[in-house]
Amino acid sequence: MTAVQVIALLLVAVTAAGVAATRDTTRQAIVFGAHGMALTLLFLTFHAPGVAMAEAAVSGVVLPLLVLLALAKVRSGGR
Amino acid sequence: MSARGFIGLAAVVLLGAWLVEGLLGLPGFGEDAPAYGLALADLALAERNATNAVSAVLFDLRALDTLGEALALFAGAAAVQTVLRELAGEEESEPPASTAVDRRPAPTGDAVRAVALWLVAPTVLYGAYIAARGHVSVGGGFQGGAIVAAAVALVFLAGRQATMHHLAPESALDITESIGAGGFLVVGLVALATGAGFLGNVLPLGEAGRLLSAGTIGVLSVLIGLEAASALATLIQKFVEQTVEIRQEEP
Amino acid sequence: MSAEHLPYLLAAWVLLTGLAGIVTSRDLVHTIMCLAVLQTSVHVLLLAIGYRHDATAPIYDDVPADVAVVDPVVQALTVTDIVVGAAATALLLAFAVQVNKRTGSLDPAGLVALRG
Repeated sequence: MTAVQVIALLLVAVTAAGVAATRDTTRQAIVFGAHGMALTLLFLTFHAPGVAMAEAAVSGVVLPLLVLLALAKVRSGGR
Repeated sequence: MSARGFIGLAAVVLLGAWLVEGLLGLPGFGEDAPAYGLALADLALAERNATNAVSAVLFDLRALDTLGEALALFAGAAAVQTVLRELAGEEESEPPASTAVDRRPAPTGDAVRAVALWLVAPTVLYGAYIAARGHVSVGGGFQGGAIVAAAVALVFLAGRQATMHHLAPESALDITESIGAGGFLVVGLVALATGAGFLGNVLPLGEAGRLLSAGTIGVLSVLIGLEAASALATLIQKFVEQTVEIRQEEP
Repeated sequence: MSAEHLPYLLAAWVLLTGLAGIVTSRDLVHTIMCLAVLQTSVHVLLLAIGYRHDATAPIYDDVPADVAVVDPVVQALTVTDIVVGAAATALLLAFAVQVNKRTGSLDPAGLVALRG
């Protein structure tokens, strides 16, 4: 296993633990975006460029936006 | 932490021990890959003239599974549209709907607006390029569709919510999503009608590496790109609408 | 246990931290994001199974046809799962928003009774 792969694996492990441990959901959305970017790096080191592309677009842009919009709706009293 | 939390964590630890024991029985990382996948990788280039083996697997060699996934995506978008619809006792209005300070979209900074708006057209073009060249090089329908949906999100992030509704109105998104998913089925049925079997590759295979090659793989890639972009953009639009425009009716 | 199995163990770690987050969660949105992390562990495991040493990506447009490549089938599975998984997560978030409208809170412990 190359050094880049080991680094990417460690980043994924740390960000995954970060997502589970962050209780404030707004911060958790940002950590989730970081987890998505760590996964993109990991997929690139595994010679899967198409998968990395899909992961970056979906987990880096679309999902954090949806979570933050849902949180904005919920935080303002939900009405 | 409650007693239930302790029991839950103990169960997670037990599951983890069992899982690790199973995973350690796998062959070592990188030693050998499943034979089926490697056989399909050879088939993709040799028999279908498709230089992107992943796209060939998705849209030709295992196209039936992708049809199932495309319909699952369609159902997911339809379900979100149903759950986030305007319920009885709510009204939908032009933004901003609520006078609550944290519900009004904050005025976007000039830098964010400039960068986001300038990036929209190149992102859409890039997404279309990735989807159209799915059978030749890295990419494919799903990736291209996700990139185009990210471009729609960019318009919202630039603060131009009304522009987002005009550029990608929900009625148009419904039509393009249906063209994407339905088109996949139509291509499959056309292949069936010509005697090749459902979702067979019936268009001319051309020369590997060129844009017009690999038969129906390119066509299906573009259709799926259309569907994925429409579905993800619909999701973004419904959430934006729910947050900024729908509110409780004044009694 | 050796370095040969590190990616598999990492997938197990991600799955278990996601699961631990779900089990100890007091907020529905937090639970949903931990579920999304759990789904990514499956992607990591799939790609780790399909990997081969000294092989390259299964894209042949700039390498000769007889070069060793990694498995394309697991990559195809992962690509579709990423996009469809995002739609499923969005549906769960939509449910959370509507639950909050009805009950005024996002605490899963408070959602015990079925109400008409």
